[in-house]
Amino acid sequence: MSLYLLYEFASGYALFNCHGIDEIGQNSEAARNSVADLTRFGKVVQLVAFNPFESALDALNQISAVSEGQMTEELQNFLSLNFPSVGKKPKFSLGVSEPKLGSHIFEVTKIPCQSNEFVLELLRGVRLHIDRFIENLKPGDLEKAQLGLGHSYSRAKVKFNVNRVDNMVIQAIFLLDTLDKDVNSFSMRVREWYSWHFPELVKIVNDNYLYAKVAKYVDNKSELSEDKLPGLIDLVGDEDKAKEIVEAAKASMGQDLSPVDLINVKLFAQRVMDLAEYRKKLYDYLVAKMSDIAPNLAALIGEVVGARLISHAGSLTNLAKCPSSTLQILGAEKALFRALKTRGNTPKYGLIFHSSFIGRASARNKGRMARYLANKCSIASRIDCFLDKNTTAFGDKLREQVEERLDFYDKGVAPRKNIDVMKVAIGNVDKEEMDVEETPVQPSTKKSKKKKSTEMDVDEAPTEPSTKKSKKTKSKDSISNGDVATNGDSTAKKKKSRKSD
Amino acid sequence: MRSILTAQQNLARLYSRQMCTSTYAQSSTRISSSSVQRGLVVPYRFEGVFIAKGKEDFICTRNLVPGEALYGEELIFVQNEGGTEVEYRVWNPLMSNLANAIMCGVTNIWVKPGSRILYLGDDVCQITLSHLSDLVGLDGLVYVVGLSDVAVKMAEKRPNVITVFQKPSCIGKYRMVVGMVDVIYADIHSDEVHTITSNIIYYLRAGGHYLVYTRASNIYSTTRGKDPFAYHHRQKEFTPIEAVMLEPIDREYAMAVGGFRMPEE
Repeated sequence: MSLYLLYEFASGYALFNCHGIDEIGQNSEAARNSVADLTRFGKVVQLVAFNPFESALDALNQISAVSEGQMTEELQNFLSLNFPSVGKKPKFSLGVSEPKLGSHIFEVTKIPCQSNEFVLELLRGVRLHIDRFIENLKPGDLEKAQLGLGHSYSRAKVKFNVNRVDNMVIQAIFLLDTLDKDVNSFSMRVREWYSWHFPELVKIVNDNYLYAKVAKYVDNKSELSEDKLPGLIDLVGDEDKAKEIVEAAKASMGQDLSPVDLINVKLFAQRVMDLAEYRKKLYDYLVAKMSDIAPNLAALIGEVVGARLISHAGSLTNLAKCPSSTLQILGAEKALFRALKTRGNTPKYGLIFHSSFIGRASARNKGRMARYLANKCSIASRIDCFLDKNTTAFGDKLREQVEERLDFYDKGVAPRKNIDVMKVAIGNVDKEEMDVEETPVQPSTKKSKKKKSTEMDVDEAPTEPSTKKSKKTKSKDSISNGDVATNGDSTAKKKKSRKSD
Repeated sequence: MRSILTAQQNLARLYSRQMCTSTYAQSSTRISSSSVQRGLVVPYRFEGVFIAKGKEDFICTRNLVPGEALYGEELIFVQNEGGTEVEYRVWNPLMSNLANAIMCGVTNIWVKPGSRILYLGDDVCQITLSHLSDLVGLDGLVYVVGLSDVAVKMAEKRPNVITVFQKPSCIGKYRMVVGMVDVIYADIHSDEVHTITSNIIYYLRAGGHYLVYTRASNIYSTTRGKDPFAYHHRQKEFTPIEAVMLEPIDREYAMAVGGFRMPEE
């Protein structure tokens, strides 16, 4: 009875024929000895067929199936291609490393499988010498395939979602700061440069961006006449200002510039305008990204402050891991450690100060608002980090709470209880979910069980991480199961799906 | 031995100081070659591990990703003869079990530049992983198996790290990714050795070695000798070589080193 070996690895599936079996006997000890030497092993085992994976995605599907002990279509095709159809008494058997996979193969294709110690020893040998058996594989190819496969498998398990990468936001906010500085210094330079020619313009037009535009438009001030006035009015927006500019141009003290110089100034002014426009676009990009990765944080304190917090902490997960007291003074570390060393007063706020709420509080209550806001920000960042769904319901509710707190300090209006607000928020979240899907929540949790773990979309139905969320809200919600009925049901279903994972 | 002891103490002092004051310190400190005695980054007994001598002695590895310090450790720059700078990263025994073992005098770690390692971890230690990757260099490979997303992120920077986000006990599930390895480094908490042994039987080549970080009571009891696999049914295949107690940094723990299917002498 001939023994075949199925070896699955990063580049594909390989089928080996052990025809030298009778020589070494069905003995693991003997197999072990033969493995060490390639020439001896080559006599025992020979490559019959090799089926490379077509693409990285294909490889990922295969490894997911194989790790569960299931057989995919590709494997089935590969096997049926290479084995004659099995009659009642098969004359061969297939060695596999896992009995689970073996039994599945047997169920589907009726090929008898075995996986005992002997087979394991032979497979060890195959694993050791695999790159020598397959001619097409250059050295290093196998490692690269393993690297790629390992990465995609791990990423699939971690549910890596490209859209929710917080690195983009961190880079964007750094770039925004750099851009601001650069645009500012360039604008100053334009002002100085053009002032050699037309000094009065600096006093009339204060805005940097506008100045660059006007400078580009006016060009040579001696050519500025009444017929350019309408264009100037469009640019500046103010008829009086435009008239002032024309007047000043006539009586200007500045020296004349040669055409070449004027061209250079114009080019530079154009550059500044382009940069300023790019900065606007970058800001829009930042806003969009923030609403992707941290919508609740953005709804609560604004995109820029939120992005700054994330970049200071290093990543959204780091921010979520911080205690809220850390969040309160993120950005004021120098002051904090100085105060700790000299036993003085520690700072009350760090980056959080730039959100509008602290400014609106009276001097006495700034510290209290900072602490309250930091607590709510902490909650928001944790929701953003660990909740799969993309919703601003919590952020909006948290913002309302902060506003209510501000009112309380101002006027003494008692704010709502946290439990009530959160209940409403959860209700809103569920309502959003139901609006998005056609069918109600329960059948879709069944659907989500069938979904493979390789799916990388932002799931519409809440999956595993939101069991954490609903557990959390359960503990918040002292009135446990009754109220949030749909959530409660789906938690039970998710608990089941967790066990089967 | 004396120098190792002083190095240990110095490092312990230095790092405890650093850990108290700088919670937010993410930047690395550059030790210029002037504070390290001139040209004195000497190779240690093990290939790929170096000792930086100076006012304080450190063990370090050559940095695979120059310019980057992973957790705020110090980078040492040494001028080469050719005028280029070689960069070393200090290896902290307080945070890394393997560095601790080296400091405590293990005879051989069997990890060389160019070898392949399988790192099994319940809680993958980022630091040990990065230094292992430095050690084996670009020719070698480090397979990391464990449920740790920091390891997945680290693999993006280092081309010789292959991560598998899976429990080390499910050996079958990652058999497609991992090839045969020379050394298995196991940092698994449970007393049950079944996980480690099955990984060894699958993936460790004959004549390879294993390093197991485990409780000292597992190894040093009289009936066990120094073998964590003493009661395993395939015990004959595992040859214990030595065990090192990881005092004073890590009481009650030890590193056991052994060989698998060692050829008869």
